[in-house]
Amino acid sequence: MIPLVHYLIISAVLFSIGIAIVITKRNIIVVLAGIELILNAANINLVAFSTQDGMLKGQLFALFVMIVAAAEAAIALAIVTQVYKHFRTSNLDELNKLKD
Amino acid sequence: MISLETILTLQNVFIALLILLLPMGTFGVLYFFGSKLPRKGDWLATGVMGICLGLSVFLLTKTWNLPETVAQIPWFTLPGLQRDIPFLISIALNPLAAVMMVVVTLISFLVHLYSIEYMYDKKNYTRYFPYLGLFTSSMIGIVLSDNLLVTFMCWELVGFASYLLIGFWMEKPAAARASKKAFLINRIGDVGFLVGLFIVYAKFGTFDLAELREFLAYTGISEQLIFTIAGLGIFLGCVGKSAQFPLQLWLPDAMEGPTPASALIHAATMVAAGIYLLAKTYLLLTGDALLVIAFTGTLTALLGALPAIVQTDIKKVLAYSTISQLGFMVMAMGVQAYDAALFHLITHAFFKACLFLTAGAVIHEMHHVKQGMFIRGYFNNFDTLNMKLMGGLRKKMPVTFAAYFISCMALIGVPFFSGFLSKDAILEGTMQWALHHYKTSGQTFYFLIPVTAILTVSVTAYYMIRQMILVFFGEFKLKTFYPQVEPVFQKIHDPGWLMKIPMVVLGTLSVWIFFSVNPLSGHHGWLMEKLAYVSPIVPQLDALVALLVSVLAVLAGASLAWYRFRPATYLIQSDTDHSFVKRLLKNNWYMDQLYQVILIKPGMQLAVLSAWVDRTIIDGLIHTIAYAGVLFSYFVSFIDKYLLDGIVNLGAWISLRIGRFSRSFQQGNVQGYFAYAVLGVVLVFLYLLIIEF
Repeated sequence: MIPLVHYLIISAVLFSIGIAIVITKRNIIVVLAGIELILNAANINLVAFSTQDGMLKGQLFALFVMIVAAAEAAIALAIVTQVYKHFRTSNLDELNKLKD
Repeated sequence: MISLETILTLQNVFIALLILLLPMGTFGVLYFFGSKLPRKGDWLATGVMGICLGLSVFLLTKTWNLPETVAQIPWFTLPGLQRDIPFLISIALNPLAAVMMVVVTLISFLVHLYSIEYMYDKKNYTRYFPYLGLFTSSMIGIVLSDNLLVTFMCWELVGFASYLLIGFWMEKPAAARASKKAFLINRIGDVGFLVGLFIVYAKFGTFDLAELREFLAYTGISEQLIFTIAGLGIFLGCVGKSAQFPLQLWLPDAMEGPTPASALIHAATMVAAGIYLLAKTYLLLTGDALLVIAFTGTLTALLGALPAIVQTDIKKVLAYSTISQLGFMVMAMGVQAYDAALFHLITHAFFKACLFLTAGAVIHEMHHVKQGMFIRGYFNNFDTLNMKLMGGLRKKMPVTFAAYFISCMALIGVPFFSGFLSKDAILEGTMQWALHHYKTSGQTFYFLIPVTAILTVSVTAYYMIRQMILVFFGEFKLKTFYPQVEPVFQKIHDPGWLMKIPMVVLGTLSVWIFFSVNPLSGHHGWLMEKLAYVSPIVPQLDALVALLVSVLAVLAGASLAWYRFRPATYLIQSDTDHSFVKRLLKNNWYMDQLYQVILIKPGMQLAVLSAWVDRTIIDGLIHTIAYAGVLFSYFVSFIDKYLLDGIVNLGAWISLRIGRFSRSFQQGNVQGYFAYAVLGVVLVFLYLLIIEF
């Protein structure tokens, strides 16, 4: 039996990597992937903690998160294609028109 | 129910107003459109004046036997403490007003006729007739109005019109000066008039003469100092307008105006206004005021007559005689010979107008002589008014001479001429008055007035005979200087019929028969009987004495003049060897110079002093205050700029900085926002950690 702390460490590492990707990467697609990493880090936490109470509430919640993540990815990719069509780029540094 | 009588009265009032407004209308029309009319509209002015004359005569026949009619319309009301105070415009129609209107319109009409010929070739012909209309209309206003305030307005209009006419040839500096002088001297009189008005209003609460007559009908004016002051104030107005001592200075200078206008000023309009005002306000005059009036008139009569002896200017002699005759009228008012004063006013109007018109004709011919000499190549700029250059015109201008002779006799006061009737009435009045007062008070100084009056009658005869001899008898004196003038002299002739008719009419009206059937007394003539006024003076003396004295005085003066200026022996004296008395008389007692020294110079010095005070002290004060104000505002603006604005600007600067700072987070980069969010979460966790341990 792998102790709970290991899951938590994995989850924290994954979360941090996701955050780092979201903040540093320039391509929108990669940033979306980083968001997936963050969500999955949370999922790992949910699943890990659900082993402790036996009612599987956490696992169910993880399933819910996956569904939300899928929906989110679908909408986000649709936006990305529209953005690309409009701006002819997927570089986030160049997409700063909201500022003005 | 309107009775027939009311309708007749209304008709009369309407006619009177028409006579008042028609000349004013011609003034308006001719002033603005005169230059566009054929002959500059002189026919219009003359025609309208003729209509006015006809209406006046008609009005005279209508109102002669009626009692006085007063017509009033409200002008404006002032709210008062107890009741509203109405101000009325009122006119009074009585025989005196009707006669005066006939006199004014008749003389004005004749002057219009005369001017058509006299003025036609002169400059500014367009402006002349409107002025005459204005002058006549305002004089009729004085005659008609029965309200002191309205009278005062017309009074001022008369003053203004006389200003325009005296200064008619305003390009001539002397004329401009004379008109200013007449206007300013009249202002002094007007101040007195106004003071009188104020006192009357303060005491009686009305300007309306009809109301005043009602107040005073039974009691008469009470002998209080305040009423004496009021009466003398009103009299001061008369002193200015009717050229009484000491304000008579403007009248000789007023000769600068056109001669027909002088005739109008001296006969019917301007100077008559003062006497007429005295007649209107006669009830307001106290005994003391009347005494002052009597002595002023006497002094004026003598002081006016004496300078006429030495004048060489044909018009100046007549001007001084006007002053003297006005003095007679005022004297008569003062000695309560009210009817004699007004009678003399009317007879004087005719013969003085006639004298001026004949003088105008003579001047006209002298101008022709000058022109004739110029055409023949002798240019001599001699004075066409100088009597010493005239002479022998009797045969050349018979009609003019006849008119002159009659009116001259009337002025002197020879029996069978109108002037005798009125002058005799005045002399008799003064004698009766002096005797009456002598009997009651025992004072002898009252006799000064009749004695001076008799002396003045002699002087009048002297200077008028002198003028007649100088102008119409003997040789034409210009010939002795310039023998070449002979052919031009032969061409001198009577003026045209337009100038002849007025002279003839006025000359005819200077004969006794038009005023009284009895050639030696005017007391029972139609005019004096109507004007008769119940005098408190009890006659002490047979009228025959006055008559004898009057005739003797005239004879004395006339024979002296005849002896001195007898055509055969009289030679031209050179103008340089004047004795002091002559110079004194020639310069009208040096009163102009006296006024210069005692009034004008101190006045100028006062003006200079007050200008200095104004410039240095008052202006200095104001400038200091202004500088202080500027300094203070600099201070205020400094505070405003640096302190108040500084605070406001600081607030703005702070919010700008805050804005810039908070804007710096909004860099538009999605990842940046995300990084901040993460940082926030981290900070929250840190905070939680810190409060946990």
